[in-house]
Amino acid sequence: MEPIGIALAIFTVLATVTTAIANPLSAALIRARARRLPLQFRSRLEEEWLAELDAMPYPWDRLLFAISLAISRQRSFAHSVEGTAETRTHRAFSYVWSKCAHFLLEVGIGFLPFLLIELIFRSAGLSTEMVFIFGACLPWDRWSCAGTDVEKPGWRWTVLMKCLLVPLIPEVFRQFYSGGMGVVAWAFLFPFCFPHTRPLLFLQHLKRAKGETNGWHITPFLKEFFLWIPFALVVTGIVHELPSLTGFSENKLFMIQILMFIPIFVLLLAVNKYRRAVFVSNLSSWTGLNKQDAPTDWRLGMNTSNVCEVPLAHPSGARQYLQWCLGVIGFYVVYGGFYWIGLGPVLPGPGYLPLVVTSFLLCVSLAGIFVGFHARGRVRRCSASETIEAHWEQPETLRDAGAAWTGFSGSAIVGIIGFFFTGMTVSLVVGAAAFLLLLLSGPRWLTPTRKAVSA
Amino acid sequence: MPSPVRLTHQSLRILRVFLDTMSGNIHAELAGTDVMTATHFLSGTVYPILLRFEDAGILESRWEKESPAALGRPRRRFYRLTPAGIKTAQKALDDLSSPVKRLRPAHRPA
Repeated sequence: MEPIGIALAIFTVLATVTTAIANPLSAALIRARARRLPLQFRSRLEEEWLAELDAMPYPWDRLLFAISLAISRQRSFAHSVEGTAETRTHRAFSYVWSKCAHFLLEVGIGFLPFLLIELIFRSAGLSTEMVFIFGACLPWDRWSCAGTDVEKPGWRWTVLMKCLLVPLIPEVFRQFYSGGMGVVAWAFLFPFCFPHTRPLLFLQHLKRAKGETNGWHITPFLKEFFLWIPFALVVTGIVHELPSLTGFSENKLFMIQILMFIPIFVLLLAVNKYRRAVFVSNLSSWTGLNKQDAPTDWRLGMNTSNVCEVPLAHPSGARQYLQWCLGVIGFYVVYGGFYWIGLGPVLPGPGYLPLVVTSFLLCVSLAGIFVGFHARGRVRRCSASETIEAHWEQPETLRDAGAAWTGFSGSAIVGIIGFFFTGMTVSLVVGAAAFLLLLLSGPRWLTPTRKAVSA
Repeated sequence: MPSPVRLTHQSLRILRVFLDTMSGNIHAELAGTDVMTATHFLSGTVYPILLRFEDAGILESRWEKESPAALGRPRRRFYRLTPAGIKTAQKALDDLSSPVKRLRPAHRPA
């Protein structure tokens, strides 16, 4: 199935399910919101809001109405009950919460993208490993000898069953070039091991394996990430205390914070750039290699024309990473700019949190479109008759295609999510534009690869 | 006399909607969703402002008179400007649209 078709199917299912549950979900959100209101107008507002909900014709309008109320600030409704014990407690809580929320929001916005990237691109951990994919019907002892003779310590052997292997191979190429590798990484993490059977062999050598089960589960990148979190927390905490310590205004400190985050992004990008690996494949003999043709030394005997060195933390992934970084920086610059000119607290719009989220999603969407166009300009258009080998000789083409594809698709998803979250038309326009670009360009770039691999 | 209330950009727009509605019909009333439609604000913005105005005496509200059984749906709540609220709204919007006095510089360069 085409990726566009899958995306459309997922979108349709999501839209249908959300539409179906919009009414009960909206009512539940409103009741939950009303329960958090001061006693004086708890029942009145619940009744009023449910009546308004009933008067709305479209489920999406109801959902937006309920979500907007659900995420509205608690103190917005607490103005008219000053003086009561409940209000005083509530105000103290909201003061503390507002401080914590601001703090958590900044840390979240700064570092959530890296968490997502880490989850999506866990295969980056493989980038320090050597991965070999061979196609052959060979006895297990032959493979084991070949491996142990060359480099025994720290190598691990995994044989995947044919039923797992067959769907996995197209995924290797599809995800390798489009930026995911999630399915492949998952199969590596939980392989079915039958070392004494004789299926088509899918052999991976994990060099420098640290653990008994697998060596890349805790990757250097993940470790770096966990190191960055406390660092970011400390930095953000210090910056928050600076107004009282230094007497600087909040606006100036916000800009200082932005300037402090930029080198972190640049450093992380640099780390990602130099993470390279060797991906060796013998595709042309995938089904033809047999025991008689097998050379003694498997590694040296491979046909070098089919050996390709590419970074496993490949540019399409790096570009998506770049997209997030640009988006975050853009967000800080835009939003910080408003603060700088003194408009931060009084920005017109539907409230603080939706505005922050929308600004962030918009910046990420626009950065994705920028990244996609940058890659698109370097993509050679392919005809459907070309084979995977033709692309394999020119991996740059497919990588750029993958980068453009991930940029556009990411922007489309983020833009549409932004619209449903905030109802701002500009988010929908950006998302729709990215989706259109994806429809216009993505399939032509990626179809030959998939067809060739499937064949 | 309405108690003083902080007038933000959003609250001024909401006041404008009520004034515009009343210019056609002095007894005109609006529900919360009508205000949302007219201002393009979300519910999380509109309702806190309506409550604040009501608390300050700028707006008054009432439930629909008919019972839900007679209406066949839940009863809605409608808002309208109070006489004092009309004056407050007109004054606030007039202040906003009146020309700003040109300031004379305190110091002239030598």
